[in-house]
Amino acid sequence: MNLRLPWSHCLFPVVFAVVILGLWYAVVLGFGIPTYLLPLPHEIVAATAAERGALGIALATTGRAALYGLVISAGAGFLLAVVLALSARLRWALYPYVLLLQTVPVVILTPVLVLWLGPGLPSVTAVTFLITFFPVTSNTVHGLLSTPHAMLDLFRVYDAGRLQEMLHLRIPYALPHYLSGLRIAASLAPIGAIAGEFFAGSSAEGRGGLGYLVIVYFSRHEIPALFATGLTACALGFTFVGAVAGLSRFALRRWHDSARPRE
Amino acid sequence: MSITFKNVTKNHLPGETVLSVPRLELADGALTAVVGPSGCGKSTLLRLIGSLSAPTEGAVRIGNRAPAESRGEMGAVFQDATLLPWLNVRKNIELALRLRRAPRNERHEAAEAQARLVGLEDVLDRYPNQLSGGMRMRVSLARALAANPRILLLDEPFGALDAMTRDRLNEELSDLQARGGWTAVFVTHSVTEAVFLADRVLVFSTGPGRIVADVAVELPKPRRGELRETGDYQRLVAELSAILRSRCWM
Repeated sequence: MNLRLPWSHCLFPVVFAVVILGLWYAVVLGFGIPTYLLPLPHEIVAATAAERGALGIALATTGRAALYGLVISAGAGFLLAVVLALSARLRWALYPYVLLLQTVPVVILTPVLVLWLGPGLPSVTAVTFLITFFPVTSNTVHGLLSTPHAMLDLFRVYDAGRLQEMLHLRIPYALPHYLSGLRIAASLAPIGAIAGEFFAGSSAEGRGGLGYLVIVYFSRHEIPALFATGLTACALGFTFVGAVAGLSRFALRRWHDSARPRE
Repeated sequence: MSITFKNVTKNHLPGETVLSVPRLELADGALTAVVGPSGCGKSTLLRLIGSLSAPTEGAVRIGNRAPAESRGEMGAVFQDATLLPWLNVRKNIELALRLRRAPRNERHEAAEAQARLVGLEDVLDRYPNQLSGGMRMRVSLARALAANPRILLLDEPFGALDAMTRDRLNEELSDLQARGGWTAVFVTHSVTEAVFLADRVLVFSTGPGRIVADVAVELPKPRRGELRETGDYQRLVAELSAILRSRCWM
C-alpha cells in the first residue's frame, strides 16, 4: 500500500507559510516594531545557524526526555486504561485520582519531583509523563467502553471469557482511539519536557535542554535565539506527531476509514 | 437440540412486561421464524435463548440445560453483520474456533469449507470494508456456521439488504439448514421470508409481547425460488399477513 501523501498535501502548507512570512515582514517593517520584540524571520534563521551547536545539544536532551516520557505514557497510559475499563467499580475508585494528577499544575508537582528524583532527566521525564498520559488513558478508556453491544453479544454467544473479550475485541476496537490519544500526547511531549526543564532541568555537563536554553537566551535578551529555540521545539513536536501519525496510518491502513483514501 | 420455554416473562422495568411465553417448545432441527411488529419481544426471545438476557420469571432450557451452559454450541447472525473490521474474511470466519482455541489447521479448514459453502472462497483475504452488504452477511453466516453450532440465532439478518440479495440469501440459508440440521430461530419483519425459510412461524403481538398464532409450514425443503410462485406458499403468506393485520395492529 502507498503511504505517501499526494504532492498537493505538501503544497498548501508551503503556500500558507509564504503568506504568513510575507505578513510577518509587512507588519514588523510597516509598523516599525523593534526586532527585540519581534525579530524578522531571517534573523531567527541566522540565530538558528549561529546557535546550532547549543540548539543541537539541547534538542537531543529535550528529545530524549520527551521520548522517554511519551513511551512511558504510551505503555502505562494504555495499561491504566485497560484496568479502568475492566470494572466500573475500579473506574469509580481510580478515575478521580487520574484526573487529579492531570489537573494539579505542573509548577506545583515539579519541585516535589525534583525532591524525589533529583534535577535532570528523571524529573523532566516524570513531568512529561504526567502531562502526556491523560490523553492516552482517557481516549483508550473511551474506546474500550465504546465497543458495540452487538459485538459484545456475539462474544458472549461464543462463550468468550473476559480476557478473550479484552484481547480479541475491546483492544482492537479501541486501537484508533488509543492512537488518537497518543497523537495528542506526542504533541504535548516536547511541551512537557521543556516545561519540566524550565523548573527541573539540569545544565550539568553542558547538556541543558531547550527549556534551559529559553532561560539563558531570555536572561541575555537574545530574542532571535529565543525564537530559534521555539522553532527547534516546534520541529521536535512535528517529528513526534509525524511519527505517531505514520504509525497510526500504518496500523490502521487496512481497515479503518481514517487511514484509507476515500474512493 | 430442542428449546423449551416454561412460564417465561421478561420485564425491562418492574411491572412492565415486554414478553410473556407461558409454554413453547421449538423442535430439534427445525427452523422457527418469529414475526410481529416492532417492540413485540421477538429479539428478547432470541436474547433469552442466547443467554444474553435472563428471564424475570420462568425458565428457558436448551435440551436439558440452561442457555448459559449451551453458549459454546450456538451461533448468531445479527442485522448488522458485526464483522470485526480489523480481521480479514478468513479470520472473521475462524473467530468462534479461535475463541475455543482450536488448532490452526482445524480453523483454516473450517474457514475454507464455510467460505466455499457461501461462495466466498475468492475473498478470504479481503477485509469487511472491501465487501458488499450481501457478502458481509454471507461472511457473518459462514462465521456462525464454522464452529458447527447446534443452535443458530438469526436476528433480522437480511433486513438491511436489497430484495434480490435477500431472496438469494434466503435460498442459500434454506439449503444450508437442510444440510446442517441445526435448530434455528429466525426473527424477521417479513412474512414472505418467514414462510420461505421456516418449518413453523410464530406470530407475536405487543403489549406485552406474546404468541398470537403458531402456524406450521409444511413445504418441501430445501426451498428454491420457484416456491414463491406456488399456491401453497402464497396461501400461507396471505394467511399470516391476515393474522398480522387483524391481531397485531389493532
